[in-house]
Amino acid sequence: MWDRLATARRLSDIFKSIDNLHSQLQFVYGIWVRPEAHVFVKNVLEFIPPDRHLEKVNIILSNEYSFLESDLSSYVEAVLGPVNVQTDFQKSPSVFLPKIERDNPLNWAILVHECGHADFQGNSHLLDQLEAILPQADAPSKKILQRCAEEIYCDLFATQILEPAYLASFATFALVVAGGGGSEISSETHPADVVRIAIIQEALEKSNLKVVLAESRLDSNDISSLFYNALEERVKLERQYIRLPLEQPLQQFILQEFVDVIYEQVDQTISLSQQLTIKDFARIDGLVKRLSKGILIGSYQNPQLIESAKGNFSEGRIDSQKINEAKNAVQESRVLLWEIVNAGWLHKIEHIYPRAFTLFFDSDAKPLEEKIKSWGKELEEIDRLLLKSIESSEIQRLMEEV
Amino acid sequence: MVLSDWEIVQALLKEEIIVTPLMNAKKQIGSSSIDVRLGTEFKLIRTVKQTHFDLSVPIEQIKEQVREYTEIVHVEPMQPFILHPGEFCLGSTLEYIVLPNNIAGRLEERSTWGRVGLQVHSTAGLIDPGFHGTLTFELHNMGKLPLPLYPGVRVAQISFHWCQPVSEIYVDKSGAKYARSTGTKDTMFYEDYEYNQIQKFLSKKYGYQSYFS
Repeated sequence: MWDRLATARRLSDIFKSIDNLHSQLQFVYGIWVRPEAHVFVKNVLEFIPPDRHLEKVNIILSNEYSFLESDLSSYVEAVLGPVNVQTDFQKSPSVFLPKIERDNPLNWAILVHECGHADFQGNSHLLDQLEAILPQADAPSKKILQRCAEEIYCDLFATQILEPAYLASFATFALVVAGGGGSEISSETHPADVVRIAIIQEALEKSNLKVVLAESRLDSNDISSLFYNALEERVKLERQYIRLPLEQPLQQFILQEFVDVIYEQVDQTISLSQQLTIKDFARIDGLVKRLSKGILIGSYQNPQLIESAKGNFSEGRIDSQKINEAKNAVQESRVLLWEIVNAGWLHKIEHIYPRAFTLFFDSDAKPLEEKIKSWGKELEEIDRLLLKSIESSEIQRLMEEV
Repeated sequence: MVLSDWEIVQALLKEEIIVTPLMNAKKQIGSSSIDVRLGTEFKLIRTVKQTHFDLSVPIEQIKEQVREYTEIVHVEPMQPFILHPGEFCLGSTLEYIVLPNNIAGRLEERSTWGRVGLQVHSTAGLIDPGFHGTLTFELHNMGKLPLPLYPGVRVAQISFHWCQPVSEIYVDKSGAKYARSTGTKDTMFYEDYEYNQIQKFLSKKYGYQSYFS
């Protein structure tokens, strides 16, 4: 019990310091958004059906640690409105990426959620459906419920694209930003983080993919429950209590009625053929092994072809037909960005986190600064490998498309 | 001895040599080499801020001088990077290369690009056994017309050479400055042990403070 509390207290201190650092983001030197981030968002937009397809979503580096989606044209309209200038701007959806996450593709997962907002606003069919199941709610409650529905839509949109990687990313994000103990508190715009995690988990269960994270080699057998427990402890420590902006029956209403309607819509937006399946995770496991050896994962070889081609060399030198077969075997197919992000998260969970626990919780005499430096180096290395993998995957996609 | 095509393929199958992404093996694997492509990261030379590398300052300041000597440019896929006649810049391979402890590599131009004056390395063509990482190109346009260089274009080739297994592979060496790189790397001459000695000498002769340990 005391060990658990001590760990929770230590986590609490770490996340408080992260909160403090985030408030200093304005002083961090920021340069332009990486091209890989544009590639990432461009690939997300391709999931959106043609009738509401978005050509472009801007990415803006932000001084605050929050991921947001906003239509920039509305700002311009608001500024010019009072001076009576005719405004007819094209919509300019934009997502905000905290500067500190500029080089960290694993946390770009949250950008997929933000792109979901841009899609939700164009999805009039869903808006009508939600309106139809709300007649008994009063106007302020209706507004709250609609906003919550939008958040749930975006979570499911991101889950269908990224699958377990979104859960891992969201849970980490929730743990960091829940510095004030807000993880169990619903706001007027967002359902509580713990509610959202439950919905994401449910979606993963439906796709038979919850098992992917449960198989991780962490002491806890389920990464999301690990985060959930940490959040719970944190909330207790901060002496925060669960507070809902809505009456309990309405909260139930969100979970039971809304989620089904939204889930159906997201399924129509992102078809089954576009989603990762448990079969893909057999390949992703291979990518994780490659990452742990420090090798790029923008493309992969087919292990069956490799094994059969190895037989061609049993007698040493071979003829041109067999060498062509062998060349086919060593040729690598492109890895999708979603596979890269999932492999990255699994690698982090299975290999990097355990090393961090050893580094920070073992009682060796190394100064903390040195430990932080070595941890930072490890994180930087994985970021670089993933960024390079995204680059090579995109170049291969463009080459193959042509 | 140089590896022939089937020996290269065999080494790739056994993962003794790794060249990834290998997008089009039939086109990329030649009789005794593998073609490699251009990545998206370039470093342009910027001379406006300094007159020379000053070695009489702490190593952090030398690193800063090197950082200021180049300007990083990211090119999006399918966008050209224009290298004008006479210009020099750094680039890197799209591919990540891994060599075993008994094969060395040699980076060479492809004659297709050599014929219009593109050099991909000036002096540093040897890849040590046990190397891991992307290779940095020293790109130089020796021709008369600007060259549009697109990421993904095959600008160079690597030939492979058998050798007896080395006693210590490149990535394990204490002075392996460019191991496990995933992009275009600046020079790190200041990490060579000679500079320690030079600075000690300068310190003794002219009373400079030595900042190297």
